[in-house]
Parts: sequence; C-alpha cells; structure tokens
Amino acid sequence: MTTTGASQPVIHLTGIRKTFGRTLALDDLDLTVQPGQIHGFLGPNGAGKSTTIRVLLGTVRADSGTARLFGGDPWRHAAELHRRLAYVPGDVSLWPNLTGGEVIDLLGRARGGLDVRRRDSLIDRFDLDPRKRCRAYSKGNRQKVALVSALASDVELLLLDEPTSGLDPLMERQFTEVIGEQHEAGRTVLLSSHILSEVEELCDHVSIIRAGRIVESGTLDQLRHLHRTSVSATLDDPTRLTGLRGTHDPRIDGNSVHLEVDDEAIPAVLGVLGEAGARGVTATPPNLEELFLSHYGSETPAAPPAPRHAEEPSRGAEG
Amino acid sequence: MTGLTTVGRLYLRRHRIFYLVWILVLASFLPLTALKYHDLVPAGQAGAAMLAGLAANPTMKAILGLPFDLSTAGGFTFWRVGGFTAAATGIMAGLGVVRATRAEEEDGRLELIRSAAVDRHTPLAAALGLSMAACLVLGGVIAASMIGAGTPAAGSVAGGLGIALTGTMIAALAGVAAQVFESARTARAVTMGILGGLYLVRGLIDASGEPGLVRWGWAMPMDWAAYARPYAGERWWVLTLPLALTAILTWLAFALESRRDLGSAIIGERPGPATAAPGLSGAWGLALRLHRGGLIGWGLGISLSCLFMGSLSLTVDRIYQNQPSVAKLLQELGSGSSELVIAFQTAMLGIMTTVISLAGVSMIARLRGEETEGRAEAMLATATSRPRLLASHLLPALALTGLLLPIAGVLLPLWQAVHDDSARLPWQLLGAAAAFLPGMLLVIGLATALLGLWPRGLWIAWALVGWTALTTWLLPLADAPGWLIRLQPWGHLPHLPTDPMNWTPVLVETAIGAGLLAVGLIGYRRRDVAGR
Repeated sequence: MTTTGASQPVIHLTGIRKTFGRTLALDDLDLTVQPGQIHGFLGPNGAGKSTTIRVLLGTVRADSGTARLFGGDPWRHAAELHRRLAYVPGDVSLWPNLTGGEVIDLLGRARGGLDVRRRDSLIDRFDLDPRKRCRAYSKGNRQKVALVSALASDVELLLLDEPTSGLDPLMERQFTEVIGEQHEAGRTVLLSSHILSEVEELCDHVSIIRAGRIVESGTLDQLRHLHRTSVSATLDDPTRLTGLRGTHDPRIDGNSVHLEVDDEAIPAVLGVLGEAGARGVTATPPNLEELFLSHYGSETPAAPPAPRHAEEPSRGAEG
Repeated sequence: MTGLTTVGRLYLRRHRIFYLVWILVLASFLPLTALKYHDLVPAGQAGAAMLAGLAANPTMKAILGLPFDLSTAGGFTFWRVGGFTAAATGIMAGLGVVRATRAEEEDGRLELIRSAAVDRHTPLAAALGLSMAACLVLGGVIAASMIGAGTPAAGSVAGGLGIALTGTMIAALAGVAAQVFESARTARAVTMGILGGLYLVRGLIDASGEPGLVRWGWAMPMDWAAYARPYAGERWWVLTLPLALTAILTWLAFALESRRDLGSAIIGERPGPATAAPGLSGAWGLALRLHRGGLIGWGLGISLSCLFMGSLSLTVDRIYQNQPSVAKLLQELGSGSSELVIAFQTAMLGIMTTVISLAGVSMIARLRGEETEGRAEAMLATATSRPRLLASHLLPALALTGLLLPIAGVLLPLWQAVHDDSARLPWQLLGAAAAFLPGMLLVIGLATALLGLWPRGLWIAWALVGWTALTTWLLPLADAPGWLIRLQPWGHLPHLPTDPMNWTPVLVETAIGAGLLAVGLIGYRRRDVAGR
C-alpha cells in the first residue's frame, strides 16, 4: 500500500479540464489511485467529484488532459474497461417495474458476471427485500440495490459516489465492514464523500478536491495536519497557552482564547487549561468547510464563496 | 379545506400545458365537423338516403353510438364526433388526475405538500377540481363554438355538458383508482381499461339492434351524453346520471383516502421475482423488458383497429356510390383513386401509418427518458457500449414499425377481400404499405439523429408526427394547397396503387433516413451522456 509502487496505477488522471457551457467543472485535475488502495475522494458538494467519476467512466468527455483507467482510455474503450469495475452513483435511479433482485442481477450480468453466493449474503447483511418493485424503494434501499450489485460483481475496482448518503447508521456499519473485506480481497476502491470522518474511517489514501482541482493528496498520515482540533476557552491569563508545542493560529480576545491544536498536543493543552482554571472550554473536531477555508481558501481564488456559517466562531460538541 | 387555493394554483401551474393542449385539440372536432356538414351530406333526397344508410349500419353504431337525428348539422356532428370526443375527454380527465395524485405521491412530492399547512384531502380535492374544471372549460368551449358554427343553442349546451360530465366521471374514477393502487402506472391502466371496456360494451349493445339489449345502453355511462339527445329533443334530466356518478365516485375517493397511509394503497403491490430471469442480462434483455408492453400493446391495438376500420369498407361502396361530392372528398383523402374502395382503404392506411410512426418515435424517446432519469448512465457504466445501448432501443422501434405497416396493409382490406373472394386488394395494399416504409425510416432516423446530436430537440420528432397527422386528416378537408399537404414524410412517396411506382422519392427518402440513423449513432457515441 505505497504510493511509490512500480505497478501501473488503476486510475491516472492528468491535467483534466471539463466545462459545461460556461461552468468550469474540472480545472487541471490530477488524480492517481494505485492498486489495492481504498482511496477517499473528499470535497464539498459541487467540487467536481461526480464529474471526475464520469470522466473515468467515459460517459463524459474531458476537454483536455489525459485519463487512464487500468492503463486504457476510458472514453474510447469504455465498455471493455467497465468489465473490470462497478459504479454506484450518488443518486441511484432504478427501473420502476423491475424488482430490486432483478436489477442486481441485470447490472451484475451486464458487467460480466456476479457471485451469486456473495449476492445473497449481501442482500441478507444489508437487510434488503429483493422482491419489491424498485418504484417502492426509498432512497436508501435504492442505494443498497446498487451497492449489492456492485459489491457482488467480480471486479477489480469499485467507484462509489457518496455511497452512504441514504443509509442509516446500522447499514453504514455494515458498509464499513464490507469495504474492509473488499480491501482484504485486494480490490481498489475510489470512494467519494463530503464527510471527513467517513473517509478517515474507511480510507488509507485521500485526495481532496476543491473547485475542480485536487488541492491535497496522500496517505492519511501525510494529511495529519487536517486533524487539528479547534479549542476555545476563557481564562485569566490567555497567553499561557500560546507558544505550546503543537498549537497554531492563536487568537486572543480579552480573557478568551481560540487556537488550533494537533492531536498529540491535546493532553498538554488540556493540562494547562486545568491548571489555569479555565472556564467554558470547547473542543471541536474540524468540519470540512472550516478545513477548506483555513487550508485552501486562498489557493483557489476562482472558487465559489465558502458557506457562511464557516466564518462564524466555532461551535459544536462541548469538550 | 386549508390550503386548497395554494395547492390548486400549484397544480394549475404544473399541468396547465397538459390541459391546454388537450382542450385545444378536443374542442376542434365538433365545430370543424359541423362546418363541413353541408359538404359531407348532400341536400335533398340523396342526402336523406345516405343518412338512412349510415344510421342503419351496425358497425357505425358500434363505433359512434346510437344515431338520433342526423338530418341537422348539429345532430349529425354530435353523432359523428360527439361520443368520440366525450371518450377522449375522459382520457384527458383520467390521465390528468393520476398525474396530479398517485404519480406525485410515487415521486415523493405529495409528502412535501402534505407536510405543509394543508388538510389530508386538499391535494386530491385540488387535483379533482382542476381536472373537472378543465372538462367544464372544454364543454363550454365546445358549446360556444357550436353556437358559433350556427347550430341551435340548446343542443350545443346539452352536447357540451354531456361531454364535460363524461369527463368528470372518469376524473372521479381515476381519483378512486389512485387510492386503490400503489403505482401510477397501474392506476392509469385500470382507469383507461375501465373506460375502454365501457366503450366497447356500449358499442356491442348499440350495434346489436335487439330492443331488449339496447335498453341496457342506459346502464352504460359512455352512452349517457348521447342519451341526453343534443339537437334531437334534449332530455336534460339524463345529465343528472353522470353528475350523480361523479358525486358518488368523488365521495368514494375521499373516503378511501381517509382509510390509507400516505404512500400506501388499498391494494398493495404483489412482490415480484427475487432474481432476474436468464434473459434479463444486458442492454438487449433490458430493452426487451422495457418495450415488451409497448410492443404487445401497439401491435394488438393497431391490428384490431385495422380490422375494425377495414370492416367499414364493405358499406362504403353502397352508401357513397351515388354521392359525387362525398366520393370526391374521399378521393382527395385517398390521393385521388378512382375506385372508391381503394380510396377508402388507402385513406385508412394513411391514418394508420401516422399512428404507427408515433409508436416508433415513442420508443426512441424512451432512451432519452432513460438518460434524464440517470438509468442510461447506470447501463453505460457496465460493459455496455453506447452503440449497443442505442441499438437496443432503435432496433425494436424499426422492427415494430417495419412489421406493423405491412401488417396494416394486409389487415385493412381483409374483410373486403373475404367478401370479394379475391386477394387482389390485400396485395395492392401490401404494396402501398411497402412503398410507405422509407417515410417510417425517415421519421425514426430524425428522432435518432436528434437523440444523438441535440437530445433536447427531440420534440421536433413528435412535432413532425403531429404535423403529419394534420396534413393527413385535416388539411385535405380544409382545401389546403397540394404542396402543403405533401410537405410530410409520406407526401412525396408514391401512393400505390393509384399512383404509378416512382423509385426516385423512395430511394431518396431511404438514403436520407439511413443517413440520419448514421448521424444519430455517431452523435450518440461522441456526446456526453447526462447522469442525474
């Protein structure tokens, strides 16, 4: 599981640009996924995650740049390459008159075959009724149909576009387990998401997309700096906190202090806070919008404005 | 009822085009026929004889209903197109109610509306109200235009009301079906099935000629508009029958709605197969499954219509032989044949050709629907190539239209051939149908080219079919110039056996059609395919 492996990358995009009318969807995008990676594809809504996946599928043609899927051109050889992958769209639409079981089989067979025993066990694990007509399924159940079909297919790569957006927490649990099994079986997964914690839990590699560009890519360890916690507190001498190892961006306003803390430094910071008799302590895990604002906000001037609430003072779980 | 005006305005906004188009089309049949009455029916003894022949014909009674007084423009018009317009109004009203009720519920939009400050019954009331209002507007337009066409006011109002109330009955029926069935598709099919069944039974009863049986016509809701006798000594009280049935069905719909949960139905859907049949394994299996109902429905519908319409041919000779003006009109419709039966048959073949091309375009449009719903993307993400996906919808369209057109050519003159004990006519009509095939290729080619190059412009293919219907059915009656009537896919093709065979237009249209197909295939390979 290294990015420097000599094997051919499963996904290799370089300099991909795509416009829809006047809208620039992908702007010089590079993305590499090596075999066996569970690769998180993280970005806010509208950043270009789905468009990237569609370029990879060859349903959408890049204006410029090179796209390689298993070393082949996904636009020209889409059908052959698709024998080796399964795709689950973010918004699953199914044939209203077909049952869930029929769609699972149809899509699996259209990919080139599916493992009937795995199919049955997945239907069981995801608690899906395959005899219902698709028109009667909820969003979550439609998603399960697409997931079961993809996971039961004999493929090397799974392209999953926000696969858990309609699943309840119990099913998310199942999904996490299944992805772990897929990883052990040696499959490659590209998992797009706008939820940082989901990517952290499932993936060993992460690429972060913003406004059509990859702004950061690497292993989770390499992206550790994303993992700072926002700490605010009120204490008599706020300056006692500044200068501690592993703290960043201190802001002092009267008796209150706000700063970003690396994971390793949390015990030390909490110790100081305790000694100083701090009041109103909050520690907030970073949310994605804040991360994007603090890390990448200035790098992409063409980017749409970040959601307004990201500029409000931090709030959330009490520490 | 809280929120009724708000929801009503929302539904009006969403369905205004649907109702507007239906009303405009349906309102035109009666006044146009009334204005043409004196061309169709000659004055004096000859006309009376012709009308007597028509009135006694069982096939005509079966299709159009019981004739009461054909001697006036109004009476003749209501018999000729009134019953048909009333049935079509029912179709409008029923489809309109289902699309505003069960279809909205199925798509989850009704839940949004019901979560707002509205009563449980408000959306159903708004949907029924809008549909019934559309029926009454249609009836009003018909009454006014018939008065404008010079027919008596009382008959015009009775006719308009009869048509409107037939519509409101079916609207209420669809309201009930939307409560009983879980899917819009089933609700629609059941409503239309009941409407068609009632029309069929009514036809059998009216055609029987047995007084004991004809009395049962009173039990036939589709006969009530005619039984109110517009232009034939109006019996106003008869109109209370559809009014009462509308009220009962409306009450039933609301009562049933109170007894069920949102999203559920009185009759739940049966579970289907848990695994796919071996044939359902890729684009071809899927397309066959998606088009199965359409293929069977169009095939049966067109075949039965051909047999039915063709049977009229037997009486055409007898009735029209001594009517030069009618014969001339028929010859115009049938591209100038000197032989009346052939003129009639080719005119019917022209109508059928347009209907068959509609089936072809709808099958191509299906793939566009698959794309906008995101399901084409789901298939293209498998080992399905774009040419294969397109071909899986295109070939059924070509096969259906290419087979149905010759079948229509053989079935239309079948009764006549049996009567004449000669196979000459079916052979001639088969040839006529074969000469029409390039036009079919042209229409489907155009639809395919639009799908490949400019999918949003697919309406142009629909518009072409509509224009063809207009030039085939209406423009000849309106004495439009010949070049305008010929400006359609079948306008320049030889109309056998009246015309001599002319290969030039046949080859040119075949080449254009094939070229358009190629353009569509190439375009579909090269463009982005939209997802959801």
